[in-house]
Amino acid sequence: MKITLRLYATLQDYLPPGTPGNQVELDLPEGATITEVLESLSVPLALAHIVMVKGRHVLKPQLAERVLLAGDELAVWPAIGGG
Amino acid sequence: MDRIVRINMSDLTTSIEPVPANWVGLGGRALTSTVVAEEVPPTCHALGASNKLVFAPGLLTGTSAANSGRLSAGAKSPLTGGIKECNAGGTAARMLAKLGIKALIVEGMPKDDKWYSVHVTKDAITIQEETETVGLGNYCLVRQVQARFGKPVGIMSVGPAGEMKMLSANISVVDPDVHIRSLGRGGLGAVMGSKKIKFISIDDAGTPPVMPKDMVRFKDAARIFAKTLLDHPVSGQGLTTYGTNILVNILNEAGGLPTRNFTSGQYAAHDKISGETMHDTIVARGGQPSHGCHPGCQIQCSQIYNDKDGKYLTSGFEYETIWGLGANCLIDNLDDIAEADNIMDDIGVDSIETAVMFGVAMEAGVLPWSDSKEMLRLLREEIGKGTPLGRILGGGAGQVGRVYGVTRVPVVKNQGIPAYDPRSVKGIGVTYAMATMGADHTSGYAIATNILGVGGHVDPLSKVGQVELARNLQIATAAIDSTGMCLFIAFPALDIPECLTSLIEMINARFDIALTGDDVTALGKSVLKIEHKFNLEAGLSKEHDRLPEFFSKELLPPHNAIWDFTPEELDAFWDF
Amino acid sequence: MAYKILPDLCQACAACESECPNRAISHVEKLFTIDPTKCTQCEGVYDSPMCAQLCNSDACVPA
Repeated sequence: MKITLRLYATLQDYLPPGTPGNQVELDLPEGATITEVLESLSVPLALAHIVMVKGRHVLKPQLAERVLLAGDELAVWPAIGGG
Repeated sequence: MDRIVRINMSDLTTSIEPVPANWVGLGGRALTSTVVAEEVPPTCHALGASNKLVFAPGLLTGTSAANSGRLSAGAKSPLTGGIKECNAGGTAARMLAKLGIKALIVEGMPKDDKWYSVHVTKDAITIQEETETVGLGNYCLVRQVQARFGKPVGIMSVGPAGEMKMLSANISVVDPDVHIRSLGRGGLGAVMGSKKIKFISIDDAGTPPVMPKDMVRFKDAARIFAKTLLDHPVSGQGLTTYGTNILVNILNEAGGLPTRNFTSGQYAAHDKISGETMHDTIVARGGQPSHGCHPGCQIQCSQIYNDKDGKYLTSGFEYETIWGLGANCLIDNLDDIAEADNIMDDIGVDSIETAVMFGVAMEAGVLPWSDSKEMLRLLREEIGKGTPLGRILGGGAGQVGRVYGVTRVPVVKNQGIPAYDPRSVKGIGVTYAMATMGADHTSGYAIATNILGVGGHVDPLSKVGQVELARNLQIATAAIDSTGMCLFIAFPALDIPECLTSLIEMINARFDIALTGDDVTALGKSVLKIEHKFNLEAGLSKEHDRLPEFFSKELLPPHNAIWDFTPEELDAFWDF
Repeated sequence: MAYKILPDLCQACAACESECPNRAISHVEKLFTIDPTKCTQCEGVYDSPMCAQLCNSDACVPA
């Protein structure tokens, strides 16, 4: 099944080489969890600080359980701030 | 710090007074708000002789504590009609602290039409007639004034907007690289302009460093404190690398990036104005992606943004400005936005108020959506030159809305709402409604916990926990604003316990006192209550602690979020 | 003999930079450094080198 993944700020470095911008489409097995997606791209889990699926936050304790669905949009940031 | 300086513009005299006992434990915002509440009649005209403009460094300013160089400025705001405090970096605060000046209070108003400048040194404070710099933009002014004195004096100045007393006029503070930082919101530039002061220059030559009473204890605490700033990923890396504009993509993803005058929470062209794009552009053009706005800053969240020829275009290029002229006005050209930022710094207008204003102006048909060239022309030729249209636009978002009959005017207490939509980020919505300062994101930055996962997480789309979150953050912020610390220490402060304990320890070592965490909370609460009381007496009632009607009626895509707090739920904010 | 800043201890807090009477201290990369040709150990200005007095990390030492 296909999902869209966006990796932002310093996590951009973990996108597949040659990816333009921050976004890539991934083809995943059914039942893939957020943690599994991040691990497949070697994103250190400790760096995945802000995670959203379809614009809703998913907190760290849920990353290993949250199963992604076809068409989901997953976006991940390291710890960043502003104001 | 051992004296209060008064600058009387009615009779053009200055005086130096000892610090009254009840002001001794105050600094920064605690002091400016206390002075304004004690000495300014709440119902006075903000541009009249009874208003006072108070500058105060913070309790730790001037010491070797990291990130302690912020300057507070306070007055009755001509924009909100209530009390106002702004703080900014730059070099002035540290100099005032070294000069032993706890507060500089500008009062009265000249009876004639002349302009003045004030010069502050260790030996004297003098008022002189000013002709050379009148009418100048801030960029030219800071260079001329530093050349006049032959050294990098500290400077607080108004641009043409402040001279013209526009409600969006700010006060500029020069930074270590002779660029501009801003005491931005609420029209303090108009107050300074009403007192006919073009600039205040500060020379700290001959002053020793500020030495804490217990130096050993201070250094130990300062070392721990600085380490927490470096250790926390936001203050130690995130802000340093990307600055605040990293927020564009996050707010867009979360559906909270106000777009097209607050009609949507997402902007299709967000990538073009994002922090990642800005960072890459800066690096490619030989600018500086990291830059500090005051001596002693370890966070370095500012940047130098060059144009395509590698020449300086702007610095201190913030998320709220880029959001406002970008997503909110549908402009996707970062260079045009940077040029606008430069002009706004130069003419001396608040970049947030002006950005929100342009969104309303576009809705009103004053200029087309996305028309960045016309936006630049309006800034330079109309607002900058004080044409009748320029004076309307320079009055801010509320004013333009009233003049053109627009109903979708995103303001609270007449101050423009910054870069986070209250419907889908409800914690910041509570701050916008309830803050004594009007719609001010910094006064209780709920984004940290609603969006950024700092200090825990509170779901931005739910009402649950938001009033408490906003209240706690506003109390903490009022206290931090009194120390001279940059508010971005709040990120480590929310997650690393040693940050706040070492901050309190530094204050204790500085003054040889024994404050506890409870005392600091009490200080924050007392500042908010003083400000709230002033506002009530100025005629701002609880009906002003509300968001504009359209937030309760118009669903915000993509989450179809609505603002649904009841007045009672909001008013519970003040239950402390 | 001048003073120097130990890079392993320097926390780049800039406490030293603005107080040096000879403007001998500058910011290079992420650390601060003293120009030995300008450092006079604050002789005649302060009773001991000011950068060492202010440094929170004891990083300012004789070169």
